[in-house]
Amino acid sequence: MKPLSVYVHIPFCLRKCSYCDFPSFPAPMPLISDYLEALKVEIELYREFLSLREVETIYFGGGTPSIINSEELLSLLDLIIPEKQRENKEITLEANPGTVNFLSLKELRDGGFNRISLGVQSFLDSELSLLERIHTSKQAFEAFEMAREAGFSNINLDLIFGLPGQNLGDFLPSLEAAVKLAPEHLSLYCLSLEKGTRLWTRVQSGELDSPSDETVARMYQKACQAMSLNSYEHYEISNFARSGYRSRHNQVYWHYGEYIGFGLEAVSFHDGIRRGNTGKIEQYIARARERKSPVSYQTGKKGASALQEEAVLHLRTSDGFREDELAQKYPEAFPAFKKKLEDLREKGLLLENNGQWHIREEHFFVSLEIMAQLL
Amino acid sequence: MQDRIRNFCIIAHIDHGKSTLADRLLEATGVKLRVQLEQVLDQMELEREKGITIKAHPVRLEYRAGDGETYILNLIDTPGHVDFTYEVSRALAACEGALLVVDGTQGVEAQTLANAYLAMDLNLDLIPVVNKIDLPNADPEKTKKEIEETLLLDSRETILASAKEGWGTEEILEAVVHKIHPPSGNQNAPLRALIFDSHYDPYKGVIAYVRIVDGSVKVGDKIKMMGTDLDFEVMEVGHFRLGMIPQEALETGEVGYIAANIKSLSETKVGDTITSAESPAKAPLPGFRHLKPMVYCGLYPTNNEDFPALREALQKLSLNDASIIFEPESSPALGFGFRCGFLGLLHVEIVQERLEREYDQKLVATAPSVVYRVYLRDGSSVEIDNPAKFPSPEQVDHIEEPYVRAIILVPQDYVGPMMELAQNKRGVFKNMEYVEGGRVILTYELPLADILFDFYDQLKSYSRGYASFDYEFLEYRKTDLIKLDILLNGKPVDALCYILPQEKAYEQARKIVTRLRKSIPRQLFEVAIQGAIGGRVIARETIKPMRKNVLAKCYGGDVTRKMKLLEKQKEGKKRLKQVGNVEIPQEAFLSMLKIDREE
Repeated sequence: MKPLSVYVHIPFCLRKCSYCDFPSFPAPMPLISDYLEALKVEIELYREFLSLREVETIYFGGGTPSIINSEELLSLLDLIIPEKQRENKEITLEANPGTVNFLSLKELRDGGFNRISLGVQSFLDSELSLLERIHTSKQAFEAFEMAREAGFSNINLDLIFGLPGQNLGDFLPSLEAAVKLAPEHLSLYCLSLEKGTRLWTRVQSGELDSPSDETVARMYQKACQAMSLNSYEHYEISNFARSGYRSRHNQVYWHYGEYIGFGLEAVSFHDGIRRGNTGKIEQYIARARERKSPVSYQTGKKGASALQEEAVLHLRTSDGFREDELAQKYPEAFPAFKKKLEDLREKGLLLENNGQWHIREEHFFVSLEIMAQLL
Repeated sequence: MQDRIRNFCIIAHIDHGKSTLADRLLEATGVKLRVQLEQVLDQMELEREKGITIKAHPVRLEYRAGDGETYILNLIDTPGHVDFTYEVSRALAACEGALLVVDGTQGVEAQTLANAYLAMDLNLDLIPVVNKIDLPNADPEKTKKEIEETLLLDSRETILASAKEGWGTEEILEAVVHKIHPPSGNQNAPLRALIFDSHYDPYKGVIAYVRIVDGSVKVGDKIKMMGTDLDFEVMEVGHFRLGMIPQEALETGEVGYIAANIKSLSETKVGDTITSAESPAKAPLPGFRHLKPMVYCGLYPTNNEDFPALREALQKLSLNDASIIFEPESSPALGFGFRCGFLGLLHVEIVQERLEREYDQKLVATAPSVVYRVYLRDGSSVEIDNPAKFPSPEQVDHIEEPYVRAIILVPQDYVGPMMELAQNKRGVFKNMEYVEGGRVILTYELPLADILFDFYDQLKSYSRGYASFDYEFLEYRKTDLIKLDILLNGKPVDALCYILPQEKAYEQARKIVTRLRKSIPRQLFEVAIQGAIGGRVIARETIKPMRKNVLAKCYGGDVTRKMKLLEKQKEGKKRLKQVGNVEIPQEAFLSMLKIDREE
């Protein structure tokens, strides 16, 4: 059976963070219940499809999935994958350190979730309040301990750097704190100011200043060094893992694998077609009540542009891609593409090793510049 | 019939209301539709956007005057920019009179003066008109006095008008009839027709716009171009109304067009005389000269593969613009492109924009250059229109560059800054004259090269927009010039070299490399920019390598959006020209045009 990954989107949070442009918002209880009902309907619509596939990884993201009670989350999980088929699967829950308690964490762990991703973002309270996070750094430490005690042996921490006003000295304590906790996985994101967010407005108005590219690049460089010293593999632009703990789910995205996304604005990709669900929650719920698919658009790339997309996604990872695999999959488009690859190799921007092409770590932070030359 | 023809044009500074007045005259003589008027007088989109007229379009009006007689009035529009002075002078030469229109809120401007002088040289009857008198801040009396003082025209003859409101239109038409003398040619003499403009028609070939000075011309006549000595057979003649209206013949004094299966604009030069091939006139009409481009620049496709497409676009464009010349050239830095000659900077801009808009070309244009005359030690001399081709210093005996005579009209308060500017631009002061209303006419002799580099914008900023300016070619003069090479990562880039006055070389070189540092985006590696004279580096700047260009997050839901972002970056790259391994934006080639403003 062909492998498949499943993403479930919970678009709710207690308060929207100042930098967030994701489909997520605080919502009243009745809307949340209606949404969960709709989500179940959508999963039901895919029952047959799911039964024909080997679901390898499941990821509950958001928003803040951890604001939903564990019973509800587990019942969603049951719909996707029966208990007896969960062996050797990666099942991740995203959680906000301000919304967890030991009991529910234990229930979730016992109920089947075997990986947890904690949105810590920073260990400095001043930065957390700039980001308008609902938790403190103390709560972050506590959440981590609770997760460990609840039995999670695969924990990810999210950190953000490059915040307005942040300098290298501000960032290092958070990095050190994260390393000290010794999570199996660390996602380290350079802040991208998205238009329309509160943080963007404050920078735009001149109230806050973004650090220079040099400063941000130094932060990234420091982090790369520190993680390497502590035996983490830098396996994707923003992701580090201890050996054997790479995120299997996220690798599916970068390896052009197939996945289904359930929920508001969620995206699916299988059989060469990308489908996106509606981003309007009322519409999402109404469609479910009529037992209709919430898909609002679909696109499919072919030939050269599919090849480019696949290669670019692969190149986010340290492994990159195998030339023979892409050449076989895109026999017509590959020869022209190969010329571009060779040109970039000539310039030292791509490395090739026995048919395996990748971007070197020192170039990760300017990788967009390199990828743009592949289109 | 000859004595009931009046041929005239309108002289005015930009925005002084020439087009509106023309519209009024057309309406008053029975041509009503505004839409059509626009089609007649402002054909090109670019003309409308820039608020200027590039091509001259004549219109034939019939006017029943106060004396009960009907007169034929030929209104010949003139291009409104200094680049096209020669075309203006040919249009004026086709007339016996001109309306001199001055904005009553602005007063006389440099262009008004320059064109009025041209008209006076050709002995035209001038009718001064003060326009926009409906505006509350108009000062008709002051403007009348200004006209009298600067141009020695009797202020009692001046007509007060508002083209917008239609005031004074009748009075202007009467003045055209009674104050402008009728054409004086000899009906029985051999044909002499002045070509004052032309355009290319895909079906009829070149359409020559003519004024019949002597004799007449009809369909079937054999004609000869006296300047190019080419013969043709007339296929069609006619008048200009809203469109072209065929007639049997054109008689002495008339304005109209001739189509004679002429394949190329270069066979019908503006200013040339058409005569009869069978009984030719003894001498052509005076004033014809071959138009030589004043300004050259290289036009290159951003992507080398688009060279044939650019050639085709230039060929098509030149069907309608005889003043542009181009020939292929190649540059080690830019690949294959064309060296193009233009009448002036505005002309460069217009052609570039038309190539991009109408022909979809992505272009890199090198900095504009004048034509230098380089005298070599071996006694020979060369004309150099491309700084990259400058002979090496040890071969050069001396160099001459073109100078212009410039008129600057400016309020008294700005005389100081104006003189400073002219000084900076190597100007030689010639004359200063005070006129009514606290304004000053400054006359300077300036190197044309310095006018190309940002003179006009600086003029406006030094005078807060109050100065106006016009110039004409004067002569070639010996000056001290050197060539500045620009090196990127140690390699000279031919397309970035400059010819500079010796005494300013160091200062300018520093400014140029600084400007280049600002305009070239960061690359993935460090880029050293050096300015060198004869192998000696005199200025240096470094572009630090790019440190950050990354998509931090890209997961399942983001792929489409993130790929679009990537495509946008790719699009941006298409506007960059790859020179060696450095990607250079168009602005970098024009750095010289911007340095003074920034420093």
